[in-house]
Amino acid sequence: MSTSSLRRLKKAGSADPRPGGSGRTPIAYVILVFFAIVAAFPIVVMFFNALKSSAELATNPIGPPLSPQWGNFAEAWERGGIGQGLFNTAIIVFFTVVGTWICAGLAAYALARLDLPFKSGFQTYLFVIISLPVQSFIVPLFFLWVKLGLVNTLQGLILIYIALNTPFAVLLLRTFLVNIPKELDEAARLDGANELQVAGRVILPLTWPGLLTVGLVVGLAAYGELQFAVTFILDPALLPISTTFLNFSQGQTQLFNLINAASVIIVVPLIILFLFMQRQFVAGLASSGTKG
Amino acid sequence: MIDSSDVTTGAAAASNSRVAGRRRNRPRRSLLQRRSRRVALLFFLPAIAVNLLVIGGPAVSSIGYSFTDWNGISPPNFIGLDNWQRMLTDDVFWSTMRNNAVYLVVLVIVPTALGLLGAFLLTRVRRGSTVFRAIYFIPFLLISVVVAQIWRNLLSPETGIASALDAIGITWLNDVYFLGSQELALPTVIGVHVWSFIGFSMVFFFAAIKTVDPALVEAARLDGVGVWGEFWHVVIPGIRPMLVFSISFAVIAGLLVYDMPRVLTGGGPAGSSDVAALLINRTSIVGREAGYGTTLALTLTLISGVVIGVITYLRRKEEN
Repeated sequence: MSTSSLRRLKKAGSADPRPGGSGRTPIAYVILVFFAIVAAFPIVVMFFNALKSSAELATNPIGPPLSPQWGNFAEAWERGGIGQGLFNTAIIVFFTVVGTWICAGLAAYALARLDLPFKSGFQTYLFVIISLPVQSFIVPLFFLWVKLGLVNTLQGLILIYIALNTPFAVLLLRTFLVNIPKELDEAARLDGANELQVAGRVILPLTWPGLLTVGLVVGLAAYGELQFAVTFILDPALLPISTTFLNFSQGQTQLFNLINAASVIIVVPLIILFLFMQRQFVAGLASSGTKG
Repeated sequence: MIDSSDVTTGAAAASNSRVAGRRRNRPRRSLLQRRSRRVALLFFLPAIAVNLLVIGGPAVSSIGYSFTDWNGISPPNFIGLDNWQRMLTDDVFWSTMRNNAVYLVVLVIVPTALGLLGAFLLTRVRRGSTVFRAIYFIPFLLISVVVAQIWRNLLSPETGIASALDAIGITWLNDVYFLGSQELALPTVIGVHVWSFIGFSMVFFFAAIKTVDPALVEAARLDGVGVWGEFWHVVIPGIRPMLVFSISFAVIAGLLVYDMPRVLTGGGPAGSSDVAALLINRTSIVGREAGYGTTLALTLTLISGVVIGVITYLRRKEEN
């Protein structure tokens, strides 16, 4: 930061103990707007280029489209196999999220509210697993999956994603579970509920903000995951959206407009979801730290 | 899976036992306790089983495989330290590690510095902070294959910024192949990664700064420490745990990075943007040298473990 901007900020700060208004912090706004342009410009260009014809793209590479080609989306959907990719990814995301909820929910419940033996041992294991690099197990895992016939299956990939996401989800859900009063489960137990009913019907539903956060983080991770997807799924009919798009964009390098249209189709659901649930996204991603 | 009648009586009795157990005989209480511990283990079982199958088991078996000539399919033969010796003098591996080191250093410094700057400025403006944060965060949401595609498009001399500048007479970018030149490929890949990551740092640090005690900020302002003093003496100490977390996160991301180099350059040209994760996958799965691949992977694991260990140690030392 330049010294003049510092002085300006300093003046704004000392004149008023509250943060300065727009009139008093012009330099701050200039920097923030600059950052916003750097962040948004490439994305805006993607939207522009998704709507151009090939001919227009050649003469107008980054400007707004002069005659928008809305048909690009349908053509990209068709030629890129986007429908099949999104369908496979929807299956993967759904079962990964549900599987993580079940595994992590039960485990967090045992850690937080039951008399689990070797509790600290299990907790240490989870911490070690979280900091373990993918590379330390991916090679033996691949050949184990070959042996078990799980390579080139969606369930094989889903199982990997559940295992990758469960440890952080357990630790996150545990912090929610320890804050729920003990009286609730005891009351449910006195009413004759078994432990699975207490967990599944009474206690875990009360942690829905935690479950929502876990669902968003895990869903986002599974939606865009590349390393396992590209290694474990080669059958064209089973490719998730990330590798479907990768094949399309690397195989059809002349169709920049259609590739951009496919990009838009893929990211718009994410952006809409994010705009509705900004807070949960940020809180969840901050607590996971799983995306490399 | 779980015998529900047994669980019901066990759990109901267990909750009663807290009242009754004080008066009743000990062996009976310990039986109930054992039963509730068994239920707890059953609850933990699915998570731990999936985890051992996918991560724990393979990770441990890596260690064994690193002493063999395993090709992934046929039974491995023990070859002693051959893989480890080969690794030490493997120029390709160490050149990828050098690229990872560059990656790591940039990824630690740039998003942290600019993220802190952006976050601090965000806390000082009265209006628009929500909109700015939403805009900053969106690049982080885009999946890596799309980020790569956007930038390949923009950086290509034929279709991107260079061609737009050419139209208005600026031609010095015309022959710059960001992703096709040995000098520029790695910086470009890292730059794209930083672009997609930086908004997350800003939003994360913004949330962190918001947790700093306003009374401390107030006191510093009354003392007239100025903006810089406030940032350096109040904000930074106030968010130290989050700062350490984000630096560790960037270190791991730099060491283990896969997506961006894989999609943007595939490690090329001539290995100039190659990273360890790409090499390990190529060696083990495409090249079928799985035993040697696990050796490289374990080396990478050890290095990241040491780096994280050092960060944790320094933090502890500073706290005491």
